[in-house]
Amino acid sequence: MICSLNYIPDHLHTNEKPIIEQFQIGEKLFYRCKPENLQKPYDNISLYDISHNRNFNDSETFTENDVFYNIIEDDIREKYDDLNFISFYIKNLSAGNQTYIKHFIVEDLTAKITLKHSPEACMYPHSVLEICVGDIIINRENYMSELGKKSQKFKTLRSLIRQELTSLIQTGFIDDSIEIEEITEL
Amino acid sequence: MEINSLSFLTNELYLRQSELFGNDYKELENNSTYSFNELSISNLEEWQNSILQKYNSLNELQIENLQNLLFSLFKILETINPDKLKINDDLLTDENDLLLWRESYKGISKLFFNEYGNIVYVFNGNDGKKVRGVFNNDVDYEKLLYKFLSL
Repeated sequence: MICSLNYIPDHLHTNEKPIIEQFQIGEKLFYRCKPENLQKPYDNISLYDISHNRNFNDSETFTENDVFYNIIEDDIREKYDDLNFISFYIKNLSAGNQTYIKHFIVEDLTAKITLKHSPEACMYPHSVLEICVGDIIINRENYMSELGKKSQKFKTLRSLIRQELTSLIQTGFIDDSIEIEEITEL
Repeated sequence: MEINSLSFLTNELYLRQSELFGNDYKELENNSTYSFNELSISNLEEWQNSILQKYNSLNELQIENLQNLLFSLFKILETINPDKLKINDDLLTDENDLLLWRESYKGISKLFFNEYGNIVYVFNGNDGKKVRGVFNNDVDYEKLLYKFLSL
């Protein structure tokens, strides 16, 4: 993958660098977002396109400022000066897990969130919190038909996923060992 | 007048206070000061009106559950300082759920009133703890409120 944008620093060019599937304890993730996403109680978070940058536990080379580079070609803007970022770090991954994976089940629906390294030509550390419903990866185009459906079970599924994601923003860390405690009696 | 309407509660409280406090209550009124419960009732009524005005897309189930909750909130305000409730924290989510929330040093507690008549309790702790409960309109609202206020 060759980056043709001359304002992108060299360390962000992917070139022949590999996808690194394994995430490490202590590794930081930087999530670029609109200011309203950072307002408590954080429920405005999108359930698709949850892109961010990883830092490979190399804080000197890969900093939070990298997330502000615009890597869209044919767009004259070089940086997103009007956006904010949040950072969180990987506190714990369960034994045997290379990355953060969280499963959800609502009636006959299954979903999962997976943290994946997904390099772009001009943004090597680019990663995603990928949401799948069944085997379908949710994106902007299919969101309404695959996850945004107007029914109670889909609403519950969205609510569970949103609780997980808002917890990441709120706490600033990922710990896949913490499950949602369901209460049925008060 | 419905028994769980705030107007009813206001009248009921007025009478109750008159019986209990008699002259003391009149003296308070004359001095233009507010008793604990007067202030609370005023807040609740204003809050409910504000919510219904701001979020006019709420359906009957959502409004009924909100009123039930506020009725219980009125009752427990006798034992809890309303200053600790941050009761003005409400918003309408992208899902058209009415969301009441509060923050403590332990984390963020939320109550979602959805269009299916459910009340969803969610707590996200600052330590990563996550709690969740989905209830119908037959829930014990007082217990739900104590849960909401306890973390």
